[in-house]
Amino acid sequence: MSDTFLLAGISFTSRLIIGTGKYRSYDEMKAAHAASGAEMVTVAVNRVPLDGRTESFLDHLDPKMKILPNTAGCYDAEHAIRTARLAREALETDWIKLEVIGDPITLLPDNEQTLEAAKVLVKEGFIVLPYFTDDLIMAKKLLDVGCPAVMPLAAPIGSGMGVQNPSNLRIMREQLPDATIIVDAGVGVPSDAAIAMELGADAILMNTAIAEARDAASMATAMNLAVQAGRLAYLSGRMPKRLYASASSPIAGAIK
Amino acid sequence: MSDLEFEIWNLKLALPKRKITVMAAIKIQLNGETRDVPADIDLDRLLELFSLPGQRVAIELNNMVIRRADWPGTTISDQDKIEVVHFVGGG
Repeated sequence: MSDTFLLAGISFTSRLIIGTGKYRSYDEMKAAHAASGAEMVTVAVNRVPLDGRTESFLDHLDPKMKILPNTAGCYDAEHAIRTARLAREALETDWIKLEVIGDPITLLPDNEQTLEAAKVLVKEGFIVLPYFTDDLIMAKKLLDVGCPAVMPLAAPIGSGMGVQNPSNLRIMREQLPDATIIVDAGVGVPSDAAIAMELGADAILMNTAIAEARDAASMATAMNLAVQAGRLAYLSGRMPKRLYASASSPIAGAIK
Repeated sequence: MSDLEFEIWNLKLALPKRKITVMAAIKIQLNGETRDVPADIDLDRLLELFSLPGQRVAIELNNMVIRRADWPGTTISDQDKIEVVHFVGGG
């Protein structure tokens, strides 16, 4: 079954997008990236250290990977916009994962500032992929200003708690059938990824669940399979939930 | 004192004066740190001075991104705020 993932005019085979942070070594990161089957990875924009001991992080990435810079660490629209502009200049890419954080304890998004930044960046020609709270109305607003996809959280960044509000995700899918929805942040284990995909997410972005696994490459394989399984299940159409049993074997004809 | 000796004395006085002009420095904020750099250097020279990489980095001068093509010839001034960024691991 051909089921490519189309995002802003680019087609991807994999529906898993992964991060590059928190790995214990470059070798471990590379092995996890290869095992995940992902075709796009996120990177962060950061000050170059002035001690002259700089090495290019990007050299450790598979050159075939599409690189998606993020605006992590930004707490208002202005900083996120500046970071996006810097990323575009350095990488010659218009793609940006827009992330405007509201507070340092929860790392929950500041939706208002995210929307403000999205408006400006879309006008400047950016492909804006915004991380935001799993809220239908905010999703509509972000799509209205020209974001080609929305990236609701499953749970706080790095929490590994899985989809905390499946109803919100389901409502978003049902009310926005044509929108591209990428669940970003909060996945902990493959079953979380599968649940998000079963609920109709088009793709999943994760970092910590793989990077902090005892065996990152092995977990990346598991996530790859879970995303595929969840997607296939969504396309297959799940059975209805019932409060009471429904026998699988014929009742009539059973010996008495 | 002969005329010749007088001229040599004058020449000696002139030398340190010129040297002081060449050493003029300005203070800038580079990646959040205060640094002294020679006056009127451009962004290309700034990267060289601090042994910073020139590839896959971007420079912001007083909150405005400066395109790579404009690095040579964009001179920095006293109290300028400069950010030089690259990429690191992130989610």
